[in-house]
Parts: sequence; C-alpha cells; structure tokens
Amino acid sequence: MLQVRDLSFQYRGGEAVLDGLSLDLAENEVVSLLGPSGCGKSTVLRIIAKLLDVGKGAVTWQNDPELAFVFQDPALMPWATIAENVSLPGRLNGKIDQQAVQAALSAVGLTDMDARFPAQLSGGQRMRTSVARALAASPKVLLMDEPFAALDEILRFQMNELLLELKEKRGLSILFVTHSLYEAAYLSDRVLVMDQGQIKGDVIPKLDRSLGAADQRASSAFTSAVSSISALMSGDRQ
Amino acid sequence: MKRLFLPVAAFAVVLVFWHYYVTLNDVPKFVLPSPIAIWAALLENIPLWIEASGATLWVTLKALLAAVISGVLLALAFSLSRTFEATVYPFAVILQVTPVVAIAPLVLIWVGIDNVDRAQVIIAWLVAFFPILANMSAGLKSVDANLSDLFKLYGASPLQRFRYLLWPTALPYLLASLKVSGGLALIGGVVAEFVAGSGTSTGLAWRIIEAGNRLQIEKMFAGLLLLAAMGMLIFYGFTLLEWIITRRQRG
Repeated sequence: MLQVRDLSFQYRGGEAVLDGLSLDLAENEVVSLLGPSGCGKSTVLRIIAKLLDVGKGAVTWQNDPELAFVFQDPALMPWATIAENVSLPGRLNGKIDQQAVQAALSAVGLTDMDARFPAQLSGGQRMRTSVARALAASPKVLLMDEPFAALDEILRFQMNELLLELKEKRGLSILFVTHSLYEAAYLSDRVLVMDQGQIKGDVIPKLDRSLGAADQRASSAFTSAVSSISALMSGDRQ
Repeated sequence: MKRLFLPVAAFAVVLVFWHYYVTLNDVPKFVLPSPIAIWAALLENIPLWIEASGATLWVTLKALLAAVISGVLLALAFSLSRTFEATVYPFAVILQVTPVVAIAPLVLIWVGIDNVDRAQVIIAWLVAFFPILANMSAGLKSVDANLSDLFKLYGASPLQRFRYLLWPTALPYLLASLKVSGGLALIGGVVAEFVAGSGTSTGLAWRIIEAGNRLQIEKMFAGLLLLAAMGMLIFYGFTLLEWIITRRQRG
C-alpha cells in the first residue's frame, strides 16, 4: 500500500540524511526501521507523513489511506483532558466521533481516565493516550517514531503486546522506527536495517504468533532474527 | 497558613518598633510620623482617598488592557513573520529601555495639554506593554514541535492552530507577564501624575505631591500605603487568576 523509491533528502545547509532509500509497506504489515541515531529513520517517517517535503525520489500511496503519527514524546496538550486530547484529530477535521474516541480509549485501557489531565497520568498512561489519539483518527497506517523508547522495560513489553493486538483487531499497517533490535525483532513482520541514509538489508523474523509473548521471545526464530539483525548492523552479513 | 502569618507578623513587629521609636525619641512628625498618625490621616478623609485611589486604579487598568491587546496582537504578528519581528522588535526595546520619566513630559505635551487622563494612560501603557509582548512572543515560540506537526498532519486551519495550540500554549506566559505589567502600569500611571503636576490630576500621586507641599508627611505616607496596597492587590489578583487558569495543567 506504500512504495518509497530512491528517496534522497538533506536539511538546508546540512549533509545528505537519506541517500536513495527505497522501502515498501504492505497492508496489515509491521515494518521496523532500525539503525543508529542520526541514520535518517525519523526523517523517512516525516517525509512519508508529509511533514517534510520529498527531496528526490517518490512516495506513492495506494488509495491515499488515513495516517496517524505517534512520537517518542506523547506530545499531549497539558491544558486539555485525556478525552479532549484523544478527540483532537476529529476536532481538527470538524467532526468529533465520540464513538471512535471511546473505542480508542477503551482499546488502550483508559476509559475511566478520560476526564483527567495529562499531568495526572503516569508516563505509560500518557503514551497510551498518545496511541489512543492516533487510533481515534481511524487510521489505516500508523507511523511510529520510537514511541516506547522513553518507557521502562516492563511498560515497553506491555505496549508491544497492545500494539500487536491493535494491529490484528484494526487491520493496521505500521511503520515503526526504533533503535532496539529486540523490539524490532519481536514486533515486526520485516525489519529494515538502516545506515547512513540507506537500507543495508532486511530480516524477516517469522515468529509464531500463536505462542505466548514469553515463548515467542524464547523461540529460536526470535534469537535467530536478533542475531541476523545484529550481524547486519555490525556489517558482516550472515 | 505559615506563608500568610509570617509576613503579617513581621509587618506588625516593624509597626510596633516604628511607633515606639518615634514616640520615645520625639521624632518630629514632619520627618517621620508614627503609624498611628498615618492611620488617622487615612481615616480622616476616606472619600478623598477612595476617589484618588479609584482615579489611579482606573488609569492603571485602562493602560494594562491596552498593553494586553497591543502586546498580544504584536506578538502574534511577530509569530507570523520573522521579517516583521526583526524590523519592529528593536523599536519595542527602545521604548522599554528609555526611562519613562524622560518620555513622560513629551507625551504630556503631545496629548496631555487638554486631556491629562489620556496622557497618563499612554505613559502607563508604555511601561506595561513590553513584558507582555516579550512573554507572549516567547510563549508562542514555545509550542511543542511534535504537537505542531500533528496539527499539520491533521490539516488544521490557521484559526484552529491559533485557538487549540498557540493560544493555550502562550496563555501561562501571558498570565505570568500580567503580574509584572500590572505593577509596571501602576508605576507608569503614578509617574505620569507626578510629571503632570498640580491641579490637573486627581489620583494618589497627586495627593502625595500635594501633602508633601504642605509638609503633611503623614498624608504622604497614607498615600504611599494605598499605592503599595493597590500594587499588592494587582499582583496577587493576577497570581490568583494564573493559579485558577493553570491549575489543571499542574496535575
């Protein structure tokens, strides 16, 4: 549903951030972009979301699907309640769909928090609010820029489960930027390893989703995916 | 409770010390009157003090309102055009750094000959305006970059952007600046009355000058006391407003 071809980009007066990058995202697929800081991961997402102009290359969508973006920082409005924060996409589009808002809040387990303010929530709850706000836009594609990087390990595991559940229930396609290769290996249908503005290679983890979370993480498919990714990152292909 | 009690107690101690120092040392009342004499001067002519305080407060509030409207609009214009900001901002700084006592006589000559009240408002506006412009400008620049991107992603109109993002972000900055500018507007109003001089003005500053000319030092103190009380009222009034409006954000 998304094709990115030969994307090159540089910030004004800066060095090239992307250098002929290509990638695809299929329907109901989770693709991770993994790489060291400054390799251009976030820039790819921002170009795809039209927050930055395409430099050279092409970004092509099939059917122009509804997009939503989740940042590393929850980026909530501190002056607005959780319900008001979640209904932001609707408010800006001129029609607030209360059902969609409630469904999004219930999907992330925050139904009884809707009248609170962000400052009254924990870090994990704020991140859930941010995900709920993205869901309230009823997106087909979720672009996520290191969304769980600031969370502790336990919360991060919980959010990973939540994300996989949402992907199945809502048929989402997810482009996920992370610098955690474990997270990438666990969440993704495909992991794209990036370096210096290019895709160095991809890894397909093939986890057995019928297993429980702990069993999936202990499976040989997971460990093999992690070692393939790590080999790709360090430069020697297996 | 402690925060209220301590300053009140300290003030009471100072008053008691002051009173006994003056009475035991027979300090002449045209040098330093006792707090009781000052209190008596205050009670002696309550309608006069109410009228004078009302006149000064009215000038202060009008100037503050003008400062808020002009400061907010100019800050908004700055946020829309960096070129405009670069062109105009230095002039706002010039207004701020030039002592108001030096500008006041000019303003009085230009607009105050037949209307002292208008000149007073302009002079008070001159000193109150800059903190609002500077703070509002900083507030508008402090918008969360990610939130700003979200507004772009969801196709917000410029009006929606202002209403739901820029204004709420800048509001705490504006409220903080009101605490400063409220006091400054009062100072500006008083300076204007001092410069305007005799006969034309009815505010507290003029009552202080008048009392000084007649060596009624206790009346001067009474006027000062009212000015200080008014300044405190303005400051704590805006502090309360700030607390009420931003309490939801603190959690």
